[in-house]
Amino acid sequence: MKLSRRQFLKVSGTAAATTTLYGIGFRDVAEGSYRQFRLHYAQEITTICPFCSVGCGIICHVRDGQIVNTEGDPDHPINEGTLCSKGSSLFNMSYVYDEKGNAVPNPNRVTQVLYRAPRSSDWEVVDWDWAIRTIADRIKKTRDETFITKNNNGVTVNRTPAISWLGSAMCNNEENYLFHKFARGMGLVNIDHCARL
Amino acid sequence: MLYHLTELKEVEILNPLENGNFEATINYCSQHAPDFETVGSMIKRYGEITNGFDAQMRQQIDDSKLLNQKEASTPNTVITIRELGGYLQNVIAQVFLDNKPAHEGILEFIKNMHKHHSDDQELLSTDLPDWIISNAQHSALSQDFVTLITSLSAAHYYQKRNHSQGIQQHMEDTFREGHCPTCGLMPHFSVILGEEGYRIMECWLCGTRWRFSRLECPDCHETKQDKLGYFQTEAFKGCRISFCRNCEQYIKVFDLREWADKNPSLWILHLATLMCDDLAVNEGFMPVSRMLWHDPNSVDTIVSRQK
Repeated sequence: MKLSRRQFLKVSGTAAATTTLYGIGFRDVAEGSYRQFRLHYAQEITTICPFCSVGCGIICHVRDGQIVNTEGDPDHPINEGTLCSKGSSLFNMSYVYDEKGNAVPNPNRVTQVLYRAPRSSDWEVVDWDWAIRTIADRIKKTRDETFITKNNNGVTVNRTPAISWLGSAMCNNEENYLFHKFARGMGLVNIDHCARL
Repeated sequence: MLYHLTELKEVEILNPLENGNFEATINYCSQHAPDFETVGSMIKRYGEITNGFDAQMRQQIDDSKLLNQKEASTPNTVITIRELGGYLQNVIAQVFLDNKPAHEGILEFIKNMHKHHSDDQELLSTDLPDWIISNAQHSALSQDFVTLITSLSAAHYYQKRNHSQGIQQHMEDTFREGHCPTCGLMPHFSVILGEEGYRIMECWLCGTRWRFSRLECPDCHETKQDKLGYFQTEAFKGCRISFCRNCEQYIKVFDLREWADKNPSLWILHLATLMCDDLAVNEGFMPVSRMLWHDPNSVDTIVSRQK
């Protein structure tokens, strides 16, 4: 049973000298008239800042699947609620402001795979399956063509100098471990990372 | 400039409503909270009356201070019926002197309280919320009014007595649990402060403040983010009802970072936003503190369903 408008703040039983908050001035509360106001439900979802390698914690306020605000996470051990100017404006990654000051979805945000073919000047939209397949094919081709089993002194090296590999500061320790493992498995030696603050 | 938690430590408290900046909070509420005039005048009157009462009480306590010296370091977590009744009679009844039905209702309530309990019966702080709910059942006052007068008077009496024994309202820096570090009660309201946005809980009874995680239920310690959430109304945007779908309970969170004053009085904000408690119960959530402002018989929540 839900409370009806009139049931709120009423005494149970039959009492003659009933005093409610209604009687001492909490008028609108007692009448339940605030229930006409719309409730704005929202969720707080934590994420990691995508910009640099520090990895600050961020709380996103999400309403109906749309981001309405972002702020620093005070319980995150790295930043404890503070953010740099880029991190503070993270909301503008998904929304920008038009001339009237309304937030509109950011038109510059890349939401699909773009591909520029060799010697082409235009970007074309491709699907993920094709992109991953092509990347795998080209890595395999380049590696096989440039693979060195023994160096000039006859020492076994099993490496390819033709590919370089860049890790990501957005990834956690375990993911970067897997990246590194995979790169070493292919025989890459030019492995670098952007975590260099 | 970053906000430092230690700023909250230096407060000389006269009553629970003044655990923070009294005047500034009243001004803020009269600008932003809807229908605050009558509540505000009641709060001001309460402040005036308690000032006189505090002087009188300080006199009494000074005489007995020597006797209490041994216990000075540990807070006394019990309150007797005699103390509570005396406070209700001397202070709360005076606040409602102009309002005849309310005044008579309080006197009737005190009489009933003495009828059902012996004078020396001690109330543990953690039993207070349940005691408040059960007491309203056999009184002519409604649940919300009983909650108002008993919680306010118990809070004032606790804080005053602790203060006289050298235990002040303070900020616990390292404590990170959901319940109050001093008296063990669950809090009813909290505030988000400073540039960092820490959530600071305040015990409604003893006024202790401590930091707690933003994304965690203080009662069942649920941290799954799809189970937690909050809502707010257009009526008072600074007040969020932060709820947990696991235990179906809520806690009030005042987000006042856009307001310049760093030390608001949470009790005043709480009294100014009682409609949020109404809305939360209407949505099916119970307060974490069990400080219920509704008649429990008419509330259908997980707690009443379990009984």
